[in-house]
Amino acid sequence: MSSQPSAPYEAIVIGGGHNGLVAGAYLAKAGLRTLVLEKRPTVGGTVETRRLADGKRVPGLFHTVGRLRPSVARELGLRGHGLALVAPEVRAFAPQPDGRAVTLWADPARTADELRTWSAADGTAWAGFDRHVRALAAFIASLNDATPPATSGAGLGDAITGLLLGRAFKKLSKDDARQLLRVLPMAIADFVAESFESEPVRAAVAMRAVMFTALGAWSMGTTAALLADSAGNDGGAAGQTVFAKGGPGALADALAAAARSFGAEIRTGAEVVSVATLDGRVTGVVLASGDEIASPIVASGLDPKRTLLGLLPPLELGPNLRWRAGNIRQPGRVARVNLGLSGLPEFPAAGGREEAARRLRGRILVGATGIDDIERAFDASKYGRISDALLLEATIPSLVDPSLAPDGGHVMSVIAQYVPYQLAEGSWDAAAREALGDRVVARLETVAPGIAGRITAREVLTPLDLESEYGLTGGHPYHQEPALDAWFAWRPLVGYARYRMPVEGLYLVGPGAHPGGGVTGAPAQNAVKEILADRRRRR
Amino acid sequence: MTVGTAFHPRTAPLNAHLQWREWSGFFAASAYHASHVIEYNAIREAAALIDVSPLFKYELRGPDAVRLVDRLIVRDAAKLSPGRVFYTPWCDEHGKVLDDGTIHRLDDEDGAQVVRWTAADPQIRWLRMNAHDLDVEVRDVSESVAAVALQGPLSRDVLEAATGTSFVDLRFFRRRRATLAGIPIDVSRTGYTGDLGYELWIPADRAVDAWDALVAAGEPYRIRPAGMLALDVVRLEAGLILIEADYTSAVHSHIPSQNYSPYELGLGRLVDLDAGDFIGRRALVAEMAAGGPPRRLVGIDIDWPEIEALYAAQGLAPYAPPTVSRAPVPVFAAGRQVGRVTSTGWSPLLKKMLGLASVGLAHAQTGTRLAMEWTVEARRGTVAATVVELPFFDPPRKRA
Repeated sequence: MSSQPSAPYEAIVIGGGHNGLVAGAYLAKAGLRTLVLEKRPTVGGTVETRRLADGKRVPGLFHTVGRLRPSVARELGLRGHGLALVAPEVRAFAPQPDGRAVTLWADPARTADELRTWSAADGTAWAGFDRHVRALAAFIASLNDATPPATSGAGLGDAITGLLLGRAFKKLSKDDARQLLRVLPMAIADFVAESFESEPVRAAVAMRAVMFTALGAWSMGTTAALLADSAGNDGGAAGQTVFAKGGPGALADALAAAARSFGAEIRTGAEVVSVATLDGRVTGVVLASGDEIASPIVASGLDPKRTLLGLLPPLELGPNLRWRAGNIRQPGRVARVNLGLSGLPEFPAAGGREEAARRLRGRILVGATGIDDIERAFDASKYGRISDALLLEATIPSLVDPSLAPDGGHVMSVIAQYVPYQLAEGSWDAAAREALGDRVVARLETVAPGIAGRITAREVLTPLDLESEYGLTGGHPYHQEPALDAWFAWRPLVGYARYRMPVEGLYLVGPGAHPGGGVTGAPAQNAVKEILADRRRRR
Repeated sequence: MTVGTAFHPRTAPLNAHLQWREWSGFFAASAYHASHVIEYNAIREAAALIDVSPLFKYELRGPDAVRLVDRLIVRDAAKLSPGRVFYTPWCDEHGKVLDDGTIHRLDDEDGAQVVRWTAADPQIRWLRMNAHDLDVEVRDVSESVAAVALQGPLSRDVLEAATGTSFVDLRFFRRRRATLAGIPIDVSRTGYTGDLGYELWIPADRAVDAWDALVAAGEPYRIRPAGMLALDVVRLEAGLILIEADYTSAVHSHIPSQNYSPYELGLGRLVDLDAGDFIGRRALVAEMAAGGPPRRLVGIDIDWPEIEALYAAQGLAPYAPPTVSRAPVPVFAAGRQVGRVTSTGWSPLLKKMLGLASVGLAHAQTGTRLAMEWTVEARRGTVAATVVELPFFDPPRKRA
């Protein structure tokens, strides 16, 4: 551990996940002497490239990076720091029980053509639906760019925000504007049913609305979740599918390189155990080693519950806020399975070898066969059980980046949706973990017969593993459930949506803050604007 | 449903006129006798037994019991050594008073600290919410511990006769264990009367036996049971505030002006801002840094001849209500309202009409002349009221 720097730090970022790195980079770029502290030996957090037992490289929690806010990539010069993105022509491929598939392409016209094999009406509806989603998502993106208004004593800044949002709202067509408030609280099941008649098409679109949540296709507010996923990126109705060359870790590396280039210092293996305070003001952080590092600004990339309950002295937080923070909902329902494969698995629904290689480059949706199939998989998880018909989002990143499997073969990354953090029976011990792995492989076998025989290495991360590995309380990848009650001015808590935590100088920069989770860098980018505004005000 | 306290089998037959009121879900006697004045006299001249069992009582037990106390109260709990009792308010995060009561440090047991916490309002949730990361168990013992106040100039004689031990050495705001008729009890040198007195903390299942022993021992000293009406008069004389009369708990306030900081309730002397953090400290530091709160609790001496004059103006003989009024009444300076009187009552001993008032800082100096609204036959008038030092009545025997 290095000794105290010649000049004291002006900002400390807790957590070197992708939002922590974005915050560190922007703070350093603004001229602050910035220190990023990461508990793990590597930066990136959930956005990492891991190594399987067979040497192949696989994603950490997230496997696509297409939601990264373009302004973050541009302003931090990530391309110059080695970030190379690959966007295949296919977005999603959803094999169906009858051997056919719903494939969503980057090109809406191509998607429409393909959907006509399911329903002529659905094919015709696609272009309009895509346009509708893009328009509404564009407005959500404007909301996402803004710091939520103060819930009491609105100031000039809020007036400006209101004006900008008003302008964004006016950009919506009359119909879209009328639709916006109607659709946000809608269940995605109803929203897709308004445009499409065939169940596989509905399910292939709807699945993205429930990924990483503890919500079902019939849960209200899932339309808002779909629009949030499409906001600020080129996803549209099909959703983004963008890979980082070298795996998601390459994005983390580029962010770290950018932060360092602006002068930020990054320390790994440095666990923060508490935020030091004096009379309601942040004075620095205390490390597990016992060292205290002083800084007037502390930006936490940890989830809000961990930040408030875990790092702040009880008297600084106060009992009422402690109670409220304790009620932040973090119902983790996602598990991860990474597979090393001796060769490309065969998906009969993907067609012949060449055709298959094209269709399998995107997100492979297993279980997106009908709205109620999604709901039933969700139902089991509500009661701590795992459905036999789990929902899976799989990718084969080695198809677009062969360097991940240098000695040939492939890797498959699987996000298993609706795996409960808390099991009704038993606990997440080694046997349960392996049983989950078996269950996921068996589920894959239904669409890719023979895949089990190609597995050379397997890694299973249960929701509990995600919590211990990445510090996600409750195992929730979004730090807080992306439901409407925890959205915009209500995220993470009413009265604390403006990135400022109850202790002066403490900020939340992770996805527990607006605009929420996913690989966007957005909460951190927004938060740093507020941090710098406060700093100017104090001067 | 209102229920009797552990003393009810004895107090019920004594309540000749069935003058009950409800106190935290229990029947509490307003007065046992036709007039409460004889009970008042017992408190001030002899000895009285006041059933205070309806108080909320909590037991904090564990290595961190005192740390929990320290986290909550405005005083320095480090000084709360075994055998000591603190009177203190406690605040919310905004430095506004939630409640006030006495906190008793019992004797350590098996290496664990034990604290008895008394309160006017329920506190279990607050205590437990704040016990986060502390090794302390908080139990509600309101129903398992009966409490009786033995108050009055002869109370020590009664207590010594009843227990057969001397209590000369038990100083003001100290406590110790004792045995009464073979019953293990806890005795604190505390009370709500401003007189010499004790409070006895008794296992509820032995409450009746304890009562009988005290009455038997007190017979030669003319001991009497006393009810809430008499207690209200003596607490006013003693300048002791009453929740829901002289202030509103921050839990129940609806508007900012219903919140009170300790400095607004005459409890500033108890607040120790330098002895570590407690809930509300930051707000109180800020409040004092800004010059302190703009209103203060004062005692007022209300001009009796002017009251007489208001009655005379309507052809009536003057009347001094024998009970304390808890109706808030406006108080004026130079024709403008500057506060309100929250408790008003006649002191038989001092022969004065007294009040506790919350007034603007500029009018809180001793000697300030104010005017108070006084209504006779539904006709409003004003009478002079002078700010005086609290307490109104402070006999040396209180601390003796």
